[in-house]
Amino acid sequence: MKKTYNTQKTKRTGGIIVCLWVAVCFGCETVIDLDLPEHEPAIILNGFIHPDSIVRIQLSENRFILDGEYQFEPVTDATVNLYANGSLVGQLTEADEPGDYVINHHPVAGVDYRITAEKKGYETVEATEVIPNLESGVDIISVESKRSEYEQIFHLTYSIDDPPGNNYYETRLYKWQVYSVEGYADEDTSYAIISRELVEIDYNAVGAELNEFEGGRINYFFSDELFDGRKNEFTIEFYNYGEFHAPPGEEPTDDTSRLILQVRQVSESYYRYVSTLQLQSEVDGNPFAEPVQVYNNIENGFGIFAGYASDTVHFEMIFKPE
Amino acid sequence: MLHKLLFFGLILSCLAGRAQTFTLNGYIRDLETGENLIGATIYEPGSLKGTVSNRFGFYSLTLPRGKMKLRVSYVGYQEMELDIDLDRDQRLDIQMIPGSTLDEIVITADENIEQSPQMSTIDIPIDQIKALPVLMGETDILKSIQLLPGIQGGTEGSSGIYVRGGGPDQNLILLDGVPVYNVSHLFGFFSVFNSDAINKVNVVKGGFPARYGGRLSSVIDITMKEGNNQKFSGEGSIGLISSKLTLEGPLGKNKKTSFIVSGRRTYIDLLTRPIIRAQTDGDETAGYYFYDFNAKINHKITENDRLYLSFYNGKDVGFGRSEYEYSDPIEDYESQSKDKFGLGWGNTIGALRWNHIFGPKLFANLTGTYSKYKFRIFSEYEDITRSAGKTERVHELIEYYSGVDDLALKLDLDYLPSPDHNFKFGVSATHHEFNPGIFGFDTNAEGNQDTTIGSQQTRSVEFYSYIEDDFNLTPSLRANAGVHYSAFLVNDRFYNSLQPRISMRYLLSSNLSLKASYATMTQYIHLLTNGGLGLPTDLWVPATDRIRPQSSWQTALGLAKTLKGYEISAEFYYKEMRDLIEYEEGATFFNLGTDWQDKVTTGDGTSYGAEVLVQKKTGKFSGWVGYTLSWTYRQFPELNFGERFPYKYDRRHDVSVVGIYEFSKNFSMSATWVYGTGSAVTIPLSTYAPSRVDQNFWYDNDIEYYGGRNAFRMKAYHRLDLGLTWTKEKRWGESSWSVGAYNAYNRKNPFFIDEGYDNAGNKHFYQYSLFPVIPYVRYSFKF
Repeated sequence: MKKTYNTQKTKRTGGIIVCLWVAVCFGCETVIDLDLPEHEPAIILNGFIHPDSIVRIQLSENRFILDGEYQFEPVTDATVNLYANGSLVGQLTEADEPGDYVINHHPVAGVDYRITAEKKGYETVEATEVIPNLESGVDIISVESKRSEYEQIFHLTYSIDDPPGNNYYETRLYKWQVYSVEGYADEDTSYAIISRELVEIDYNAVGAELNEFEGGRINYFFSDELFDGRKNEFTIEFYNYGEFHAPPGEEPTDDTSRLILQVRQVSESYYRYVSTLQLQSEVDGNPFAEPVQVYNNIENGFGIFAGYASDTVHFEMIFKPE
Repeated sequence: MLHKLLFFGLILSCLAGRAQTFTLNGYIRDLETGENLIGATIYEPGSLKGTVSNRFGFYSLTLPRGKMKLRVSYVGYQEMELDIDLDRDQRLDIQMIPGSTLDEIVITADENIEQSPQMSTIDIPIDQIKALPVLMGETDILKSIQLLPGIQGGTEGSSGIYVRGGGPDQNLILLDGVPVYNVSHLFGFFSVFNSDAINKVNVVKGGFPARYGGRLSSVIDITMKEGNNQKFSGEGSIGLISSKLTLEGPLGKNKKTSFIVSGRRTYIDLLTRPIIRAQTDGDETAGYYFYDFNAKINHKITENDRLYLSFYNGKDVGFGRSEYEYSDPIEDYESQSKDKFGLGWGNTIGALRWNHIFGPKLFANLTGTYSKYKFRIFSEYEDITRSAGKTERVHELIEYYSGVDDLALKLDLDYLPSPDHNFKFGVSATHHEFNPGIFGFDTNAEGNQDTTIGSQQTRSVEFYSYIEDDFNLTPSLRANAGVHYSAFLVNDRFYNSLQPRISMRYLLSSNLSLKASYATMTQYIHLLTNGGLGLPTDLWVPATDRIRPQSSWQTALGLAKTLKGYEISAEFYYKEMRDLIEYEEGATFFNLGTDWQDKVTTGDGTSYGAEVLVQKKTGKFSGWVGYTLSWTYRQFPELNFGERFPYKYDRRHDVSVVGIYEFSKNFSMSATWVYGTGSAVTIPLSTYAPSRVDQNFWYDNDIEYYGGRNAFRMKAYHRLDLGLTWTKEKRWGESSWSVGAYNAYNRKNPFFIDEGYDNAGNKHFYQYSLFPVIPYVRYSFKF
């Protein structure tokens, strides 16, 4: 309760600063028509490619900043072509979702991909990308745990063997979420599993320079600037509140869960896009923050066409009740 | 070192190989007040050999033996002609008679601009500054300086100074030789300098003499008055938001000591406090005020020795307090809560200097200085409850403070072996202590937490030495050449820099000269500022092992001419700056827990352009017209995707017209008009959808597309200010009424732009302006 009060006080202090500032600014507010450049509709092309999936992208149209709409119009009936090392792979076809285009092709790391999207009334957009070769090795070093008053805290230490050169990574943690229904018990169990889904678990990067204003997923992305060309260990922290996870085909036990660590070796475009996107989102509405420009690699348009390759390692999390 | 320099000077003077010469030396002062006259010219009209008095009014002129006439001139004073029989070294203190600026015949300017090798340097007579129309009647030295070509103000109404594309931290603002770190009152709307206490203002924006260092873009050298040593006198004024009073006079019968004290305070809080109390039944109070206090005392120990002690203290204070009590005798319950909020920032400056004349040709000034800037904001809460005989107290203090403390010692020497050489050399050492943002939290709740987070206090030592010579190579060619060496020790990291400086003038005719200059500069401190608004929260930080010092080089070429009392100068300049710092994209001052070094990024800057100034310092009509055409860019690898972008205050055209007309001794009128290309800002032009393919992206926000950093221009800034002054002689002295208007034609100049929605839900850009037409009235007096 007292902690809540402290937070309010901090906010109030900030509020007083702002009020003082506004008070001295006598505040003549004027609605003006700025001489903004004429808005030119452009194609937005968004798509992440990786060897484990077919190529799927989305096309939509940008909006004028003073446009009062809330939806982005999908761009349909466009001609979208995918090229690999200069040769046409094929034309993407429209999927069920308006503005989505797919092609039954699993991209390959190291290949120089180019995508173009063309539609009358818009400038043709294009982008190039090379999926990084997955050269880094990922190993689990240890899984340790301790109990706090409310939950069990796990520390997972893993290593990445980084190849020389600029490399970028994203790490994700997944669990098999078991959805069950109680009361449908057979003779041996008191519940029935109705579905399982692979869902992401939030974690904290231990030792990263976090504070209350930063953090979030930006810490899931990092470059090898500090460990270029060598093996480096990382520790992440996550919690278990007494849930049990098991992959399909396995019965959940009351003490062991199976988790998956996915390490993605992402391209520089991918890294720059997600980093700047997250930052712009975080400072939205903060008049004191420096403006953030989101990385864009679409020529004549906007969006992102970027790739990654991923490696996964499985490990167990053993739950120890209080 | 000193001996070597003296020997070097002697050799040069001997090389001149002239006939028997003697030296005339002394001080040039005002007859009525004893004030030193800085930059007064004394010369022999036949040979045109002469010199200029230094910042303490000292001059030294070595001429061949014989009888001669000497002419002494200084702006605003009657020209003097002295008959001299120079048959030995002589001490001659000169007292000049101030004249009415209406009389153009006997009043002359100081050294003509075409004569001096110095370029990019402007003097503004303090009387002109005081005559200009101003915001709310507050005379403001820095706002007057903003009217000069090559020097820009920042946002509307602010005292920020941006010189030739440089940042607000790149100006060495000296008050009596002591750096002032924060020159703003009331969030930048007023500057800290009280014009009644000021003697001289000199602005250098390029071609820096070697004696100056430590900043990249300008030196604004402000010299305080010393105090009238002839009679007790005073002056003051009562304005809309503040009043000020200055008293000065001799101490003791022998007039060896004089003093000046000057104070200024705003009084909005005195008016608002009773209203707030009345409205809250006395439970709450709040207010805001600022004050300045200047004091200086000087004492003549001997003919050759003089001591000066000067002091400045200024502070802005915002505060709010509330107290509430509650009691319930039936329930045996009492509670009392107190809530306090405070905000304050200010400078404290002190200087103790000793002037000594070692001989007719050598003048020394030894100075010890102290400069402190501190910003603090706090919120404090106390809650005491008594119930059933038990007392419980909850106390909490949250505070944030930042600042810088300097302690320095420096020695400056002037050696004038002949009229063809004027050597200046010296050394200085400064101890800096930086507190770049410390956040403290103290509470007796939750187990007595007492936490301090933020950046580490950093101590550093800065050292410099210099030598320069102002010398004649031929009768037409004169130069000021020198070298400035500086060093900085911080966190066991040592930086140093050798900075050559030269400026030259070549006389194309008797009143027209061609000038050129080259200067390199190094700056070991940075200012972290959000948006360049000049807020007191801006952080002064040192170069560290991670953040390098800033450096620059600048070259300029120009023409200077005097024509019928008008000084005309035109200059072209090019400047490059290295290792500038900016906040990273997305960074803000408010994430207090992060070290400042983790929030900044470094890059370079370029500025080039042309400036024209036509200035008239004396006569019924005085003032100036300035025009600047300039381009200023920044390039940071981590900003704007590494692409070059316009600096926020990249101003293609900047015009200022300043006129003061004295209809009679009792009535004058003044007007200023300024125009500037709109500031560069970053605003979104369109939005687009974030990727949702293969991502659990958590960002629902549309992506805003800016078209580049600072890619958009706000509307142009222009403003007319008008002022009228009536002066009346009184039995006890002089009184005057000034009335005028800031922004006379009510131009809604842009302050900032923001997005918003109208009542119908339509999205617009809103431009916020600060000042509509603001009239002022001020009563001043002098005795």
